[in-house]
Amino acid sequence: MDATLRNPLSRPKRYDKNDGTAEMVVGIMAMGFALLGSWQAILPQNSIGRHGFAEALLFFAGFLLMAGLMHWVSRAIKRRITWPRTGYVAHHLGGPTAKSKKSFWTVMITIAVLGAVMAASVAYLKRPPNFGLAEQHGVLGWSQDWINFGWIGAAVINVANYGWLICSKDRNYPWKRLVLLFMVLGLCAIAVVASRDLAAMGRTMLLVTGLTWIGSGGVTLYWFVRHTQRPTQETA
Amino acid sequence: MNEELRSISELDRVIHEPGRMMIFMLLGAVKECDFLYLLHETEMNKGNLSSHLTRLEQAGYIEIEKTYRGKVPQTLLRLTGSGRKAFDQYLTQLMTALKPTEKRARSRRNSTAGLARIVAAGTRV
Repeated sequence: MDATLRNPLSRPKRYDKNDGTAEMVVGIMAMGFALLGSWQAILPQNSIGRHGFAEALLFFAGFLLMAGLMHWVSRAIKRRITWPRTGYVAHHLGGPTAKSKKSFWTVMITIAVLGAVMAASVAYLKRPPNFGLAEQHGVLGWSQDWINFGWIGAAVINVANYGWLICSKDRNYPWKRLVLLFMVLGLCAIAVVASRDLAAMGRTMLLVTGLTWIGSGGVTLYWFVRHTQRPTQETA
Repeated sequence: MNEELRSISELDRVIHEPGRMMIFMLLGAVKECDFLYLLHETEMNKGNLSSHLTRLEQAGYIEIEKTYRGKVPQTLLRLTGSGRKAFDQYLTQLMTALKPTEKRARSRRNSTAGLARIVAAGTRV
C-alpha cells in the first residue's frame, strides 16, 4: 500500500491512547521504580536486599510485578470502559514504515541524549565532594554514583517523553502543555531544593513525574468517559 | 481510450462507494475490530453500516464472526485476503487515474501562487 495512504490509516493506532491508559502505564512504571528504589534505600546497610545477586533479583521481581500491574490496569480499563463505549479493535498489522521507524528512533535518541545532558548538569551542580572517584570510594562506590545519576536521567527522559507525546499524538488536549510545564518546573524545583543526596533527588524526581503521568492519564480517562457514551442498546 | 481513463472505468464498484471505502480504510489498518468500533468511527447509522457490511461479505472481501464477550454479543470484522488484495489493486488503479490530474492541479496551484507573489510585489512597489 502506498506510503501516502498509510498516514490516514494510522488513525486507529491513536485510538489506543484516547483513554489515557498509555499514560497511566508509563506513570505506574516510573512510580514503581521510584518506590522500589526508595524501599531498597531504607533497608539496613548490611541487608541482603542491598547487595549483589539478591539486589538484582529483588529489582527483577519488582519489575515483573509492575509489568503485571501495567498489563492488568490497561486491559481492565480497555475491557470495562473503552471497548463498551467506542468498540474493540486489535492492531499490529503492517508495522511501521521505514520513515516512521527512523523518525521514532531519531526522537528517542534525542530524548536520551537530552536526558543524559540534563542529568549530568544536575549531578555536576549537586555533586557530593568526592563524586565518581573510584580511588576514594572503591569500584562499588563509583558505580553507585552513576546509578544515582541514572535516576535523574530517567526522570528527565520521562518528562521529555511526555513532551513528545503531547507534541506528536495528543494535540487535542491543550491542557497537557500545562502539565508538561508543571513537570519541568517541578524537576527544576526539586533540583534546586534537594540536598546533595543524588539518589534521593533522582527517586523523588521519578516519583513526581510518574505521579504526574498517572494524573494526566486519569484526567484523559475522565474526559473520555464524559464525552463518550455507551450505546443505548446492544450494538456490538 | 487512454490508460488513465481505462483504469477509472475498471475501478471496483463494491469498494468505490464512499461508505464502503471508509470501512476498507478502517479495516485495512487493523487486524480486526468490532461493529461498534466501525459505527463509532464512520458515524453511519446501524442499518446503513450493516447493509454495507453484508454487501462486502457477499463479495468475499470481509469476514464476519458472531461471538460473545462475556454475556455481551460481539460482531468481529476483518478483511479477507482477497479483500486486502482487491483494496490494494483499487488504490493502485485510483492513483494511476489521478496522477495526471494531480500534476495539473499542482502546477495550477504553483502558477496561482506565483501570480499572487508578483501582485504582492507590485503592490509593495
